[in-house]
Amino acid sequence: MNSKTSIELVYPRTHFSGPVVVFAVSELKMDVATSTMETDAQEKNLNKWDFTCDVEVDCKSEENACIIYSTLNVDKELQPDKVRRLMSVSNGKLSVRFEAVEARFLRASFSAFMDALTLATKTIEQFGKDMEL
Amino acid sequence: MSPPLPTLSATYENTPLIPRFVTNEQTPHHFSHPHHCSFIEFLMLHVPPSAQLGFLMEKKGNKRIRANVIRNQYASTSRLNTCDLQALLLLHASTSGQPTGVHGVISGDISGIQSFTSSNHASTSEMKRMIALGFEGSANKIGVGVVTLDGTILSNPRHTYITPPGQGFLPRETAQHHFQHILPLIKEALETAQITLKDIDCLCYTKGPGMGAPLQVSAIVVRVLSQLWKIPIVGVNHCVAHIEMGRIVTGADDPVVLYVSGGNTQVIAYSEGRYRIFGETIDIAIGNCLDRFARVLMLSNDPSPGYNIEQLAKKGEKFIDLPYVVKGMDVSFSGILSYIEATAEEKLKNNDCTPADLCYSLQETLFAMLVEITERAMAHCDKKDVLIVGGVGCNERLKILQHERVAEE
Repeated sequence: MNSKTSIELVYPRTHFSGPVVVFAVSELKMDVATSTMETDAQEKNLNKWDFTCDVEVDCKSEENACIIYSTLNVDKELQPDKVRRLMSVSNGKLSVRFEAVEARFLRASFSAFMDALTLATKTIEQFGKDMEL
Repeated sequence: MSPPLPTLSATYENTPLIPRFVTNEQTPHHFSHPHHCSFIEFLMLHVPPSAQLGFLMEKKGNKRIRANVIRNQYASTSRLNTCDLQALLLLHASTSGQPTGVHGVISGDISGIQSFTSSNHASTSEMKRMIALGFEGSANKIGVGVVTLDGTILSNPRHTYITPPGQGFLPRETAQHHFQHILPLIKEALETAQITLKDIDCLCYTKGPGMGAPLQVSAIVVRVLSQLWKIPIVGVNHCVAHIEMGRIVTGADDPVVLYVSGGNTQVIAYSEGRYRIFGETIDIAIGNCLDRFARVLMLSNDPSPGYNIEQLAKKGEKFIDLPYVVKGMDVSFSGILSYIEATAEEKLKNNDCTPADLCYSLQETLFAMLVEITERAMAHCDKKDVLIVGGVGCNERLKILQHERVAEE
């Protein structure tokens, strides 16, 4: 698969008035599909984790998904009181859910995670089963 | 299939050339996990028996064990001193099935420890040389190396992130640099060493200390490769790696170590069973001090700011008095840096001195401080050798000053 995919992050309007942020993930040779959850921060003031983002990565095989999961699950979020990351694997797909108290923490955490994900993916591509040396 | 469990035998009167399991447990019940067995078997098959006495097994809580490969220092003389054993390799094996660990040197009193002779030591006569693929990315340099157990370096390609003059390297940008270069470097390392992945026995990486984001790059790649290739990971302590690397390359057995780099300044010696820090900086590292002064002078960061300071210092003629800050066995550089930063601006404006004079004076002052505390550590530990490791160690002037002082002894 070589399809160009994009991830959209839509932040609650009360906190984010700029344009919708779009991350292009062209290097990833995996299908990335995202769904965004919109919550009105003013209405749900009691809920601390207002900013969320869900990413689903199709790793093409359960084995690859498990490798990526166990690789990325080791490093904890740097600010667990501000960002939470929940990961799970099912049917060769890696699902990641980010929850943050502010948009900037969500963006920073997501961005760092995508870098790590890209590196893990490229490593599997280049040094996996079909490696030529 | 798990290998046979080691069987109990007599203690040290046997020849030291036979690899043996040594444990402080009455019964080797913690061998029962298949992963432990395979990992110990793996070690046993690959460490030459002439270089080892056995494996010191230590139970860490309920879940973890520690396996130390113990080098027999007295293999040639057959003299055994249980209080003076050096363990070369320290590995943590966790019951989760994923080996992690640190590479280091420990020693300790193992008198009174039960010992076990391996029931299948005949197979150890056919040794395969163990090959490690190592990853280092704790600062602005990313490197991948192929090394055999006896210390032969088969390949060592690396790439350095060089920032524009006047700027240091920041974690995020450095990590991005590592992201781009690590995978081609692995291929280059394997090609230069002319090995395939079947020859690799373990993956090593810098576990820390260092900058978080750059460290994570090699950690991620190592974790993926370990799972793809089904080989264990050995996490390596940055500081211990510097010392062990220096020892293996120079052949120095038991030196006083002057560890000088961009992040560390320490005088270390092996004493009473472990590496001990005899003196260190109480604020910034010497490399940090030199690099930051290079930024003041807007020197190039290619190949490194320290190298360019060294070259400029060769042209220095006038010595400018700088604070000399040795506090007991410790040194301090931040005050010197502040002083020279202020002095440089004023003196250069008035044409009182040249940038070369400043570099010369800074180098002489800093290195004299290091030589002083190193000499004191040597006298204290009664050691004759000094091993200089770390990035600043490539400075010729430091080598000359240290050499002169050691030669005087």
